[in-house]
Amino acid sequence: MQTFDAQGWAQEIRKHKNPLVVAGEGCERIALEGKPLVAYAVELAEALSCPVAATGNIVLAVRQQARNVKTKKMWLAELFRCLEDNWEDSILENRPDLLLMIGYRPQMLQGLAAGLQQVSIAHLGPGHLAGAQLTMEETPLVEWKQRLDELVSALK
Amino acid sequence: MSEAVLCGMCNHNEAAEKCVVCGIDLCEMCRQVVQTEDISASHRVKGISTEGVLGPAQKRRTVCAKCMADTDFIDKDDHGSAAAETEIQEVRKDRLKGFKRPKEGKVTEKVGDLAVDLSKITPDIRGNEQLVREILRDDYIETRVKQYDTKIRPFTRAEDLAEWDRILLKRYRPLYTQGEAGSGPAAPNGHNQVTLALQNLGEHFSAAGKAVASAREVLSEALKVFGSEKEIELGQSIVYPTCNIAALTGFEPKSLGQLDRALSYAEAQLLEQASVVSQGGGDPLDLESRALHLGSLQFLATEVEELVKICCFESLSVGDLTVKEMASYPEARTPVGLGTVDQSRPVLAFFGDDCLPILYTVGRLEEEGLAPDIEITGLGNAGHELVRLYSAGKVLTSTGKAIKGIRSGIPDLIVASRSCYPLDVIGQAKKAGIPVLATGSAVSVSAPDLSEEPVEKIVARLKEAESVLVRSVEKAADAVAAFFNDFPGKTSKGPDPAVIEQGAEKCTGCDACFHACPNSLLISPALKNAGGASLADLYDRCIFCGECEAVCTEKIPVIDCLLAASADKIGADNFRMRPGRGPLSHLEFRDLTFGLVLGGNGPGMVSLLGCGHYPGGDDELAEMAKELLDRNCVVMTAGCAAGDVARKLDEETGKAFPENYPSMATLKGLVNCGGCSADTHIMASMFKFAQLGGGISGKANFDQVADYSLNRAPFAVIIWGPASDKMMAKASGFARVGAPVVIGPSGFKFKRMLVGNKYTRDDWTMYDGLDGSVREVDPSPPHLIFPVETKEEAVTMAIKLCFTTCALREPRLSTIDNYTEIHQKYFHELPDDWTYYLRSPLELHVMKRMRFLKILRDEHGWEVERTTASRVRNRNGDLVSMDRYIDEYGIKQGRYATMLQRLIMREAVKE
Repeated sequence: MQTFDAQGWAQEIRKHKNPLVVAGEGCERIALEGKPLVAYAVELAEALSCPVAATGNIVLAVRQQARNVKTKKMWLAELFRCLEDNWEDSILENRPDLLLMIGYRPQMLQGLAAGLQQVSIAHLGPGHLAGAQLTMEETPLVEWKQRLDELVSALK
Repeated sequence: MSEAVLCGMCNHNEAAEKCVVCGIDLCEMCRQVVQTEDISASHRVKGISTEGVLGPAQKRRTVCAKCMADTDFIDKDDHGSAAAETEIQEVRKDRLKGFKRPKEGKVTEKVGDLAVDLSKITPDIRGNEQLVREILRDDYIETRVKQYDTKIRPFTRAEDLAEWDRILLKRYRPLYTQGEAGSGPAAPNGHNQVTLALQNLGEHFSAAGKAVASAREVLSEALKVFGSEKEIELGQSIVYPTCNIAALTGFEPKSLGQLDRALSYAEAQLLEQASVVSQGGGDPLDLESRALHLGSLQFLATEVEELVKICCFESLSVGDLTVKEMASYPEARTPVGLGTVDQSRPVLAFFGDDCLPILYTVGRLEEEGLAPDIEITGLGNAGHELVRLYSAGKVLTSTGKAIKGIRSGIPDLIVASRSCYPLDVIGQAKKAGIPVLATGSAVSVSAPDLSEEPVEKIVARLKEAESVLVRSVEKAADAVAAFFNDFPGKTSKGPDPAVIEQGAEKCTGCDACFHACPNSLLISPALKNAGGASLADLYDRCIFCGECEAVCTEKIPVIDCLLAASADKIGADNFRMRPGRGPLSHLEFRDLTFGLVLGGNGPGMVSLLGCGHYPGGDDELAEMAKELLDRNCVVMTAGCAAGDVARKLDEETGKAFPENYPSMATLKGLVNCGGCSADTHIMASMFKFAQLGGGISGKANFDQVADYSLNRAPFAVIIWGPASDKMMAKASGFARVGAPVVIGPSGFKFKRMLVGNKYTRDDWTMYDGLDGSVREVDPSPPHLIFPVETKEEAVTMAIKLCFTTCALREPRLSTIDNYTEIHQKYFHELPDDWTYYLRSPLELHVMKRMRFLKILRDEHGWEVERTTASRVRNRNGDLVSMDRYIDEYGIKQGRYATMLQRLIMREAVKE
């Protein structure tokens, strides 16, 4: 689904039983009108009652946002390696069926996303990610913020 | 007893032969001989009849007198004749006689009392007999040859190392991070993996091709000037200076002519891989194995280049110094940074990877007495080559940030040569009003070719701030000298501060720049001063790739805006570095082997490489270096990373950062080997570790060296900010010999990583070297080529990659201690896998043992008694005794182990 529709996306996301928010380095560096992306990562995890796989350096930022969200320092390439093999990691007992990716450039995820078969991807950045089931087109920052706000509201 | 056949012509004498035309029996007296010669090109060389592949060119045939008269041997197609056909078949039967390999046991060499069959230990002994004999005599003893299945592979081909490559690729499977299909099961029937592996091989071919061409260029020049007999001599402190060459070819070049032989081998191998790329299709693992081979060839080529530069061009090397002298040599006086340039003087800047323009131009400027009055500088790799040749040279920027140096308007003339980094030097220089003189045979630029024009005409164009191409580096040097001899004054210009206001007015807030920026910088808000980071803040985080300008619909000169907003930062970009010192000495290698492999006073040797394509000012590399040095690592650098490592002043002493550490490969030592090609000296460490620590031959014995290094040598490489595909091939070269690599922060832009899975326990096995049993081992090192996002991830992963399966107690203790500590420092929690590497409570730092034992008891279910563990939770989740745990998991301390089946000890030896 490439055309963003908050309700439609929320409905699609809700279909998955074992989602995992995967938050990358951009979550700490990028702030939209003063609100850091990591806040969105945590709000999404809270709305979906799922953990946050914190890559880059952001694990502390996630903890500071909300102590009740389960989080763990993970490495993006190790995560995708595990997803291709038999899943085993303490962040989730069973293989996640949906990754909500935030804080990554689509170029960074392109090949990794295309390699996955049993896992859906929702890319929450403002750029198209080939291979993702939910992805946006390139949008200005202002619009991106609106969309994230709408999506979080729709999931709550 | 058979009856003699009489001659059919005279019926008198005993027949000896038959007429090849009619078949009649002939005696010696009646036979006549006709001689013909095949005139096809393949059989004739300059009128001389030769032995060709399809048989002898000159044919002698026995015929009777009648056939001699009746038959036209020249015009007639005598291949139709049955007799002639028989003769041809006879000839063909033997035509491969000279091609056959010697039978087993026919070619032997005595090692002690043992006769070693050379045809068994070498894939193809033909043409290499003498070399293999020498290697056996020099590097092997009888016991060693008896111990296991010795292999010597002179002029190693990709397929000779396929077994080793596949062992690596099975454990560290390719993870494709770019392309339309990934590495996982989504790729149907392997087809997409083939496509991606082929693309990856193509990139490696391109990279290795650049390195080989570069080596050929300097070697050809040296051969012209010095001749093939010119000796390769690096000085009294350097023993075995040609590790990379010897590892693949089996010999150690002692002269330029022998370097030529080594490079010719690399060229032939390169072309062989090119033919595979052009075929398309294939087996993905075979393609990946070939990509690894290209990585190895790249290091061979750079070794050739380095040896020529040091031995023929007098590039700086410490080979003649004692180890004591090396500690503080060369001094940290080489200026680094844009702020080091005195802009009141004329400024010359070199750009590119070709050192010949630097050699010739600086030489000419010195000849004419102009050099002291000119700021002679280099952008990127050119700067690092320059300062090894010319002590007053300066390094302006890294290669990846060369745009910053150009657009700052500091240089008055840029001499550009071929570069592995795809940068439109002329286009960027034009924006700053700087003329570019492109030179060298392999440079390709869009500028008028004035190679045949007189120097005066070239200079006239340069004075008009026009860029030109002059193929001859000698002529280009003349033109540069003439340009500065009558310096026209500055035509270059730095950014006008007014561009900021103009840019803010033009900006539509479409954020195309944000989407294009590899670092996701919020440029539009900064330009409009709309809160958040300012333009000056962005200057520190910008990697100066120019993507934002390329996509801006309003043609806003974003880079000029950043530079104009950061004039004070440019002025403060003023540091000092040690220029590259060339190869490591034998004593340093010995010290390292005992300090890291056999001792354990630091986690390992970590090399910092890269092209400067990373954000965070320019001090991220310096910060990483400091973290590693503080942890007792040996830190090696080369190329642009060496300049960036120096971009820090010691906060306490105010000294240049490198001045705080010995310029030696010792614990807490910080070594700059030189320019981009000088990382070949770092690679040489892997071979030296195996030679010194394991007594393993480094000649044509690549896989045994790699098996040793991967499992025993705590060595990791961080490639930070790669801008060129050469870095990807370097990563493959390091990985193949057992040196794991971390790539970031733009590592994901490369096609293929080699990533292990610590949870897939079947991947982590080794042979017990004595009984041949397969043992489960700890996941060490966990990855071979691994992408990371941040410098904190890079340093942490580099420490983790220093884990080796066969590490002795002290090195393991040091690595566990540093890994857990740094993970907690940066990520505020213990890593989830640290217990996989722990074999005994004695491997816990004595000051932290009680704390960790408590964690093992509370979180991992170990049974702990006072300061030790009585029962351990193994990877199956069972509680077992410590003895059983060690007996079942990992390699026991000091026990011989290997990943190569052929290296398992033979029964006879064990008895």
